[in-house]
Amino acid sequence: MKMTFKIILIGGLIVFFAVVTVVVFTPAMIWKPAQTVVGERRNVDQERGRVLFYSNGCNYCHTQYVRDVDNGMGATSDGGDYVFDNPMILGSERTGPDLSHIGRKRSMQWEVDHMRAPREYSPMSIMPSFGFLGDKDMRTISEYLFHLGDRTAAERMVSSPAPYATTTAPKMAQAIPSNDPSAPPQGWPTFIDSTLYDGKLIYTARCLTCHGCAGNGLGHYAGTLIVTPANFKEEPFRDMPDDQWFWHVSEGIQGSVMPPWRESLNVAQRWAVIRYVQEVYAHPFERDPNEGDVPKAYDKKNPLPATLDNIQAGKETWTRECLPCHGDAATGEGPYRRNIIPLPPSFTDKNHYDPFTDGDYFWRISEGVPWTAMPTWKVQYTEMQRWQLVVYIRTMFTQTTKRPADPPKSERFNYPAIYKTLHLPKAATYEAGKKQFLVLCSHCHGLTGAGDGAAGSYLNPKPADLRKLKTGIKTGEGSDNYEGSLLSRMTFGIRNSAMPSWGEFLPEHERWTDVRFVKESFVDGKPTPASVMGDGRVPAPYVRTDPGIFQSEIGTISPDAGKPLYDQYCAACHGSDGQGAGPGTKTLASGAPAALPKDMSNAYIFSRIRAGAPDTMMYGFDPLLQEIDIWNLTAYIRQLTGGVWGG
Amino acid sequence: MLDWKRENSAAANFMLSAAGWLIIGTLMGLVLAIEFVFPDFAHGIPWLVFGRLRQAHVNTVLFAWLSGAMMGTWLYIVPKLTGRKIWSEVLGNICALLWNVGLLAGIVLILNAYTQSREYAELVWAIDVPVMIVLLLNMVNIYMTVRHRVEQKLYVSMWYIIGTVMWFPMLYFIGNVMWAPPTGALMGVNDAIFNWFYGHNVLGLWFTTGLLAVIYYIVPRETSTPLYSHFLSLIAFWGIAFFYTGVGAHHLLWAPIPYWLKTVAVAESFGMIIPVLAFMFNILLTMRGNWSRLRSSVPLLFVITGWAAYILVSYQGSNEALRGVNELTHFTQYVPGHAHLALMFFAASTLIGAMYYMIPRIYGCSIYSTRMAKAQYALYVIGFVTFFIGFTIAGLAQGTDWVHLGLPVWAVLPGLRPFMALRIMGGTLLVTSFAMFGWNMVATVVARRPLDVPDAVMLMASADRHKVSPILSEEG
Repeated sequence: MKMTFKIILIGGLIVFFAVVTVVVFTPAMIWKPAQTVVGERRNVDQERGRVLFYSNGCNYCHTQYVRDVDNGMGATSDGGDYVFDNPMILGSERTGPDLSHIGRKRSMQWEVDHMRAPREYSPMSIMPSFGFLGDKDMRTISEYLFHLGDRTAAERMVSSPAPYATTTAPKMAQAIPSNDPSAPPQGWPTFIDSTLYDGKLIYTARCLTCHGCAGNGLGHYAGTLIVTPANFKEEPFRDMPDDQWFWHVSEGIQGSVMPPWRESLNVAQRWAVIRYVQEVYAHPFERDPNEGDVPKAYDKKNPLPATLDNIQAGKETWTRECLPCHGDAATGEGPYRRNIIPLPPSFTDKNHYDPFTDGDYFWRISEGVPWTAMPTWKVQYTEMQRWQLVVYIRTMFTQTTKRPADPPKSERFNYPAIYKTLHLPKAATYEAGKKQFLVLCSHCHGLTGAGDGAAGSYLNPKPADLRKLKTGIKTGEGSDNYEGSLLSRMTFGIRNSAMPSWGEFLPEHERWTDVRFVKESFVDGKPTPASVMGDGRVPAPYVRTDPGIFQSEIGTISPDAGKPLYDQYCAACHGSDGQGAGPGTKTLASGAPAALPKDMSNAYIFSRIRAGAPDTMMYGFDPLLQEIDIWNLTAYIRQLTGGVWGG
Repeated sequence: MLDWKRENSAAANFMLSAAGWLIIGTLMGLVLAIEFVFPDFAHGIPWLVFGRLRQAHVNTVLFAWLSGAMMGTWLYIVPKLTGRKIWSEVLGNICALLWNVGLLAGIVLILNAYTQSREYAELVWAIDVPVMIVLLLNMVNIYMTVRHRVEQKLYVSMWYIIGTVMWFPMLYFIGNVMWAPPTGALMGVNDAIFNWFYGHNVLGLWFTTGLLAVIYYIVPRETSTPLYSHFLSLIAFWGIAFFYTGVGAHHLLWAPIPYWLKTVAVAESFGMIIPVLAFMFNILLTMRGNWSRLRSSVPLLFVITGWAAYILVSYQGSNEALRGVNELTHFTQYVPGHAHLALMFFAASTLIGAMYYMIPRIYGCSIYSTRMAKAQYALYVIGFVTFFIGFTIAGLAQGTDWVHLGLPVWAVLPGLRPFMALRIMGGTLLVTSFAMFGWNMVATVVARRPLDVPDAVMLMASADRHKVSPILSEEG
């Protein structure tokens, strides 16, 4: 082959464009991945933060895509996560952690502190200090980071992770207030003198994201970790000797992400945080908090007006940080409340909360409450964010501040365009949604969706009657894509009510299960079979179920004790007579259940109450009821269907 | 040196300014290596913060040093192989000036956080324009020389140079998305496909093709042996053009891009073994019986080292592109190790060898100190091996710890420290070696020592420009 000038030029062009067409032009024409919920449009600040992020080269150490072979980094990245990204900063080197899902795992303040002095907060980090950027720019970068990933605080699990799933919470020792008059006052002075206040500050700044403010190892990061963070409420922590505590905190735990804190905390600081964890979580001891008056520095009027935007901002913080303990309706019944002593208060207590001033809330949010698990949020949140929280609490819970006027219907929901295109994924199952609805939604929306749950009864506006959805969706907001619209309401909440922005707490796939349950139960209607009992065979795990042990050792099972439970949980559907025409079923799309059969065995009744009936609206009450309660209910139903208990 | 109309002055200006950039660029790299071990080393100095300095380092060595020197070698080789002076010496010098000024501005901008932050395409649009102008003017200069050539037959080196100066401007334009000045990028994940198509072809259709031309030129010259096979040259040339163009997506094997595109990239990457082996044997068989020349010829020593490194890095690259290997090495320090094997061992060694060959010939003198050049070679090899081991072990440790042990990213960092430290040690030797090289070059030009006898013979053999030496015209 004679290589002439022409052959090289023309041949070179042909070969080049033949390949480039395949590997560049074709993908550019046909590869258009659909937007996902992660691929959200950024506001001006977030976009500016992104420019600062990449122009300082952060993406040369922090990647922004999760591979399917990566461990504990969150969902594998999808092309649709990046639809608003320009330029792409996927990154090629992972010297530091991947940031695809970093949003909402840390507070913005933490990010700023960490950017300024990385090894203070992450002892093994080799990140350079970005303090030279100044507070404003670092804050802007944290705006960008805070928005990255799914709108979820983390892959948080409401039910306990696997290692703890089968254990029940140990009974806590009865709280003993010190009555000894010679004992020193136990309020703020003792709390500060005993270095516990220092411990609380350190705990809030450094430990909380993993161990959680309830100290039960269910912080924002917990769900993403392979080795679950320690639950201080359980052994070995309750009786762990001091030297072991000090060793673990100083050196970290091998095989887990617990860092060696000796790198950035001095000896006194480490002991302070250990004492705090011991006193407040490992062996808590309820004492008179004796808070005293609001200090001058906090005794201010709320500078923020009660606008919908402030309420929404406060709600997002509440859902992310406060809801786990205080509950979505602020009744002190959050999903993690079980392990807290003293229990979080209920904001329904009018006598207690009516005299509260803005400063009262602001002070406690900022500094925490001595001898309780309430963190010192001032180290994580700015003054503005704390005031927004005060706005939210006072307008929606204690109702001591006037709510802003209801917005026009179109502005009650935050309904980003992407949600119009989303549809229920197959993986979101009805059963998972049912369990989640029972645990997280039913205390406000009620078991029949009537909006009559006990916890929500004091709220204004009242929780929605979900049964009305089936007529509302034909014409109302979101009727163009009902599934996506419902997901957006769950994700962002409803702006003029206490409906939480669940996007801050539940991962996307868990929110979808709720959409599945609500849609199939309250809109489409789940056809009720004539009877689910069949031949009455008891499901395998319950074959040997026997009330004997309760009869003899723990307590007495009685139908009388079961009656109030029946009225509370069962009568709305099954009717007070068990005939299945309860008052709650009148407008329910799924209709009424069949009458309770007469020939059910004890074990069968027990199994149905505890585990529910698959593919119907019958809930499994395991998360709400103790075993003894279920036995009492069983006894009552036995009588109701014409049988005799104990016979 | 500054006489901009003298024959070969453009080539010399390109190469000598590049040598200066080499020292600056590798010093930046040394600071980066130190920051890996002592993260507070440059605490509070914005333009030394890792994220910015890394981009500046890459652009300095990639464009200012390697590309500048490479264009200089072409301006020397093309007249020799066409039997005609370069079309416009003035144009060549304008290119050299614009190239250096443009990149100086670009690098200063990067250090002040003005960057597009797309790997290898960091320079902002305002700098892309002068870069593009130089690439096009350089193409014109070389094509006009080729059109007016005396020697009709085009030697292998010329194939590569003609192809490279045509391909790279197109690559640069597409890869930098130059039709979108504000960000120089596309919206969405397709941008990554464009970025890496360009990113890998800076290696594939610029440095590889451009430097193989240099190796094909210098090895037969320094050994006085005709190139072994025209047939193998053909396989290597068309093979590289076909296979290398499509490898970019192997950087994105785990990213959300089309699956078929990843498969194409893997196949193309592994197919690279064909042209690489063809090139390897062609040079190997040309060297047959000539290995003793390595002892007497400093240029050949460096160029053959570059050739060997090219074989190693290509084979390593073909393997890294396999999904199973990539799972372990992706995101780790193994990858920058591979990149340094390519650019710091293959490309830099070839260019240093070429400069030891060409600069004395341009100025009609001998290398100022051959002993110093050999000492420099020793430091270079020892330094690089140390440095490369640091990268590779750190990378493999990261990969296994993440994927097999499931450890989080930061938990692995303390264990990497010793290997990161190896990079400081190797890096120090390398910077020292390059400083010696730079000094040797400047001293050569300033002192202009008279020729040694063997060099004079070589020079006279190629003195008659209007007749290409028979050793370069192999079987047709």
